[in-house]
Order: sequence, then structure tokens, then C-alpha cells
Amino acid sequence: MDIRMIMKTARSVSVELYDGGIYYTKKKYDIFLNGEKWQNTDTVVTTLYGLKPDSRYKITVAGEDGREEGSLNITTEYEFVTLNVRDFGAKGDGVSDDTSFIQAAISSCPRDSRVLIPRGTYKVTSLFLKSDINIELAKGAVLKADTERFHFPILPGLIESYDEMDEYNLGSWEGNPLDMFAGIISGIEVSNVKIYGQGTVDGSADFDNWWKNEKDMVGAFRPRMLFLNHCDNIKVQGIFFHNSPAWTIHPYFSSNLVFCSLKVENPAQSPNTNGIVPDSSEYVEICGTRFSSGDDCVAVKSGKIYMGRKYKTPCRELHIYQCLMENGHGAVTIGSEMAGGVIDLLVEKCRFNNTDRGLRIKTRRGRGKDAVVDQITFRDIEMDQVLAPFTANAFYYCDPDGKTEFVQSRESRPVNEGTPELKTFCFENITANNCHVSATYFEGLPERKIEQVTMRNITVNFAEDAKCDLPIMSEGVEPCSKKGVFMKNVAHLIFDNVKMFGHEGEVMETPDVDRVDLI
Amino acid sequence: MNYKEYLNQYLEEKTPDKNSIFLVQGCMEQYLLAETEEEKKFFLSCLENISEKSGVRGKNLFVLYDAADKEIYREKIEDKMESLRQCPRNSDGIFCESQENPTPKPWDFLYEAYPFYMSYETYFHNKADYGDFYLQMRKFEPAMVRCVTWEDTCFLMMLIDVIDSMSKEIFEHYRSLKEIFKRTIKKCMPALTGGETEEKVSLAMGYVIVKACNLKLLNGEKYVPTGMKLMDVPQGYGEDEVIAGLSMMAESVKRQYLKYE
Repeated sequence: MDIRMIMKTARSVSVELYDGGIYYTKKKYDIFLNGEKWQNTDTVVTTLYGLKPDSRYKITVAGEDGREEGSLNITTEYEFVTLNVRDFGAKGDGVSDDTSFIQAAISSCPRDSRVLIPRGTYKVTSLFLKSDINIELAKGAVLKADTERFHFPILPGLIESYDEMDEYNLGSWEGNPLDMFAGIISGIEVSNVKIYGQGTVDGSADFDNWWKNEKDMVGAFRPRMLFLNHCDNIKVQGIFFHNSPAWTIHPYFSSNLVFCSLKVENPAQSPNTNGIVPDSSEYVEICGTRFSSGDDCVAVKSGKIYMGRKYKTPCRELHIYQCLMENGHGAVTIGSEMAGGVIDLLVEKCRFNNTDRGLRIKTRRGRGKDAVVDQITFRDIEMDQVLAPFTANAFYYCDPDGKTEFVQSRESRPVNEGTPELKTFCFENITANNCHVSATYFEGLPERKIEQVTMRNITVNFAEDAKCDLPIMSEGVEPCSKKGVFMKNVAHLIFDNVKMFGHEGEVMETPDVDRVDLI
Repeated sequence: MNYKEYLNQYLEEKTPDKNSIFLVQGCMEQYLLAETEEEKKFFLSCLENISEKSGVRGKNLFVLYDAADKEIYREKIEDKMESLRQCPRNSDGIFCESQENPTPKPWDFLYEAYPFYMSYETYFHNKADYGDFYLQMRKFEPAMVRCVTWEDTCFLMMLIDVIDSMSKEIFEHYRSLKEIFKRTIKKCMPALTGGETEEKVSLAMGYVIVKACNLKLLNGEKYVPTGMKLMDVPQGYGEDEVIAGLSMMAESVKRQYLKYE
């Protein structure tokens, strides 16, 4: 077994116990700290809590038979002081508004110190982070969000500079700089923050509050649970996020981020409750996280055309591994707001169960010439009950003009300022069992084809009772079931050891594909 | 006389017509700003009355749709939209007299039509044709040279109302129109701050500037003083119903600005 430390705080450590398992280890293990049995685990990414600051630990992993499988030495981080929010007046009774008391603790917290939120239910609106601190949400601690929207501060979308030459962007909604209610936890230009623990952030959203008439903007757009705007070096570990008003975790123009061992859960019918939405952010690591969402589990974005054109900031260098994606629209989705581009995304060693799509790429004419998607790799993935495991759609009918001739026409149009680009995609060592709709469904633009798709060591098995549904959301596409490989408007297709069982109709359709290499 | 007294007298003694367009706008703005039920009722009643008798079919129809009988006003809105669909357009896409005569329609037509069209796009057409506005508005822009003529003023009043009727969700189009507006206002500022302007131009431009500040299109700190000064002309609720309407519009934007100051 390989044991690797992913991240540590003064009070916890997350490790990767790689025995060949994907999200779950191949067998259960006991974990010992300095020789004492600490806990057992069945997940590859495992987090240990309750450690002491600035202390040395030997982590030993043994099978249930007692045989040692591996060990790792770590030293926890230094901690100066702990500020307990109860000492600042927070009640944690689920009734009193504890926002200002917890905020006082955060604002007062010195460098390298901990704000401790102990067991209890803390009713809050918006909390704002500060740099260089740690926040521990202890086991049994719940930050429970208020549901009265006008109790939340608003983050204005754009504020013009005095000299009228520049602007300051605070709020965001679906790729545009628009007024939004501040997140339940917001970070604005903060750095070096860790938020960790076994506690819960409950957005309290429901169909009689935030999810009611969800398309109407009343006051401002819906808040996120965690909104990070221009933040750097932020790590979030262990927390359970659920019932989000909108996107759950939204890092926006941020960098050096780790989301580890989280649980993100929103009901299946809840609107726009994407799990983690890296948005024009770079160096993002998402690991050991379990998602169950009303929308995409992980959605990688970079704005609509105004933001993409002005800031030209792609989402880049993202690593998603050892995650479990359940019940969402897409397990890992790129777009549709990707006007700044998405470059260098690696998704590996993940399980996708019961999602509509595995990989889902959404774009359309009008996203802009900076909307370039390139170096996308998926490998060592296991899928089960995913309707359509691999999809790419350059005719996604989003936005008010989404169903117009401009977006939906399958005739080649001139390449111009609005034309996005899908470049290289590589899929390796992937098994998709109990698929329903189609093995692959890729449709690029005729005027700018998908540059290269490589599929290597792929096995797709269709369910016997396969459902019939749309493979992609676009005009002129019919629902289907057990459809084989469909690739259209691709420049170069490489298939190396690709197997498919239980399909109906043609094995492979490759209209307007310039070159196919079957190995 | 204040504007409430004026309106009561006007409705008793005058017959509204197309010239009442600024009175309609004034009633509309005052209604949207009204805080008490009594005020809301008063201005809504005036708005309904003057709209019906004058035949002004602009953005007022949407305010009435929201506030009064949806079925009746939806029908009027669809009728108006159909007439705009049938209206000839010149090669710049602007509503014009005829296919043979590409001169744009007069300003009273355009001032009524464009905010209506934008409101229709926002309410009932899912914002699908927002792009059409930018293509047309940018055609007007080169002609806005001195910005102290009544025609230039009408363009800006039209444009601010178009922007006010938009959803920011199609941000790139909102931003494009905002940029046209700002460029035009900046071209105007020397003439507006430097010399004397006609009373109705001064009142209207003051209204446009303060309304733009209320909508956060312009920096209030920098522009409101100029806007307020321009509106500081003898406001009249007298014979001239254009001045009366503009005066009511000016009072509404002042009131809105001071509410948040």
C-alpha cells in the first residue's frame, strides 16, 4: 500500500491509502496513531481528527488481520491560540442569530490560530473569512443558515472605479458579474485559510424558500454555501455541506485550493445545486469527496463572454481524484460557462454512480475565442448506472438565444470572435457498467472540429432495461437507448482497445470525422 | 401648484394626446416610487387615464400589465408588438418611415417604441433579441455630437429607459448599451456644464444623468451635482405639458436619489 499525506492542520491530517481501490479501499483497515488504535477506515482518502498541535505522529495502517500494510510519519502544524466562539457570545441554540459573535471571533483571530465552533447549532447569515487563520467546525457543530433572503448582505456584481477606467467585481451569477447574496461563508481576497472538521454547514434551502421560483432574481441572486473570490491557498477538509441555496462551493478567480474528504449533498430536484464549481481558478485539488447533487457534481467553469473576454482567465491545472459522484446531472462537467477556457484537467480514480452523464462538456457558439478546452484526461474511472458516460455538446441550448439558428445550425459558419474551441481529450482505463443511452456522444462544431479524442482501454456495458433519454441537450437530437459510439465533427479519433456490450444498432457512427485510428 | 394638483386639473380640463408622453412617463415613475397605498392608487389612476386617452403605448403598458388587468394589457402589448414587427426598418435596422424613405421615425415614436420593445423582449421573448438593440443604438451614436439639441436629448432619454428595461443576465448586451450611453454622456458634459441650454433640454438631461446615477451607470458622486443643477430650472406645472411631464420625471429621480443618499 502507498500512503501519502494530502494535507494537514494543527488538529487533523488527511492521507491517501492507495491499495488499488477507487474511493473505497479494497478492504477495511485499522489505523493506529503512535501505536494506539485510532479508527478504522474503508475509504482511500481518510482523515484523522482530534490530533494535537505541533506533535509528531506515526500513522500505521493494518489490515483486519493485524498485518501492517504501511506507515507514515507526520508532524502537525503549530497553533498559537484557540478562540472558542462561545466565549464571544455565540449560543449555538439554533434560535439566536450567532452571526456577529462568530464573525467577531474570526475577525479577532490572530495568525496561526484556530476559531473553534464546538458542538451546537448556530444560526447564521453570512460569515466572512480572514487571512492566515484556521476554522474548526467540530463534530456535532452545525452552521445553519437563515432563510430570509434580506437578512443576507448583497455582494454587488460590479463597482466602477472613481476614475471610470476600471472596475471591481464582487458578486457573480452563472458566469456574469451580477449582484448576489453573500455566501454563508465568504472569502474575499483572503489567503492561507483552513476550514476543517467533522461539522456541518446546512444551507437550509428548501422548495418553500430559496428553491421556490428559482429563476426569479429577488433582491440579488442566490447565495453559495462557500464563496471564495480571489482567494489563495485555501484548504477545506472534512465538512458536510448540504441543502445549498445554489452552487455549493464556488471558488472564483482563486488559486491553490484543496477540497478534501468533504461530503456535499443536495436533493435530486434542487435547482442549480452544483457541488464544487471551480470558476476561473487554478491549481485546484478535489479528493476524497462524496457528491450527491441536484445538478452537476463538479462543474468546471470560466465565465460567460463578458468575463471571458475581459479577464481571459481559464480554469487550469485541476486534479480530481478518489471521489464518489452520485445522483447528479454530470459527474464532472465542463461549461457551459467556459468563455475563459479550461486547460489541464485530470480526473482519475473516481466512481460515478447513477449520474446522468460521466464526463459532460457543454459549449455553444457565442462563448468566444478564449473559450478553449484542452488537455482533458479521465483515467481509472468506474461508472455504474450512468446514462451516458462520455458526452461533448457544442450546441448546448442554454441562455435565451440558445435555441436560435445561430446556436443550433449544423451548417458550418465562419469562425469568428464568438467561436469556442474543443481541443484534446483522453480517456483511459475506464469501465462503464449499466449504461443506458449512448456509449459516447460527441458533437463538435463543423467550423471548428474537436481536435483529438483518444479512448484507450474502455469497456461499456449497457443495462438490459436501458432507459431512453437525450444523449445531449440540443435541438434536433432524438432520445435514444443503447446507442453505440457517436462522434461527429472530430478531427482525429483514436480508439485503442475499446469494447462495448449490449448496444443496439450501429457500433460506431463517425460523420464528419477526418481521421480514425483503430488500434 | 404641485404635480398632484396639476394632474387633477389636467385630467379635468385637457385631452391627452401623443404630446402627453412625458406626463405618462412622469406618472409611471411616480407610481413606481410611491410608498403609500394612497399615492400608488392616485398615480396608477392617472397613468391608466392618460395612457388610455392619449394612446401612448410604450413601457407604460408593462407597468399597467403588472399593476392592473393582465388580460387587457397583454392584448394591448401584443397589438403594439405586432405593429412594431410590421414597421419598416432601414438598412441600419432602425424603425423608419417606409422602405422607400429610410429616414428614422421621429423621436416621439422612437422614445415610445424602443423601451417598449426592450420591455417586451424581457417580459415575453426571453431576451432572445437583445443583440438587436446594440446594433441599432450604435448607429445613432455618431450623430450625437453636440448633445444639447432636443433630438440628442431624446436619444439619451430613450436609451436610459431601454437600459432600465433590460435584464443584466445577458450581461454583454447590457454592458454594450451602457458603454454607448456613457460615451454619449461624456461627449455632452462640456456643453451641459459650459453654457446655457434650452429649459426642456436642461430638465431632460438632468433627469437622464440622475436616473443614470440611480441605475449605477454613472458615478453619483461625480455626476449627480451636474444633474441636479441642470434640473434646477423653473419647473412648471402650467400650460406646457412637456415641461410638466419632464418636471414630474425630474422630481421622481431626485426623490429616488435622495432616498438612498
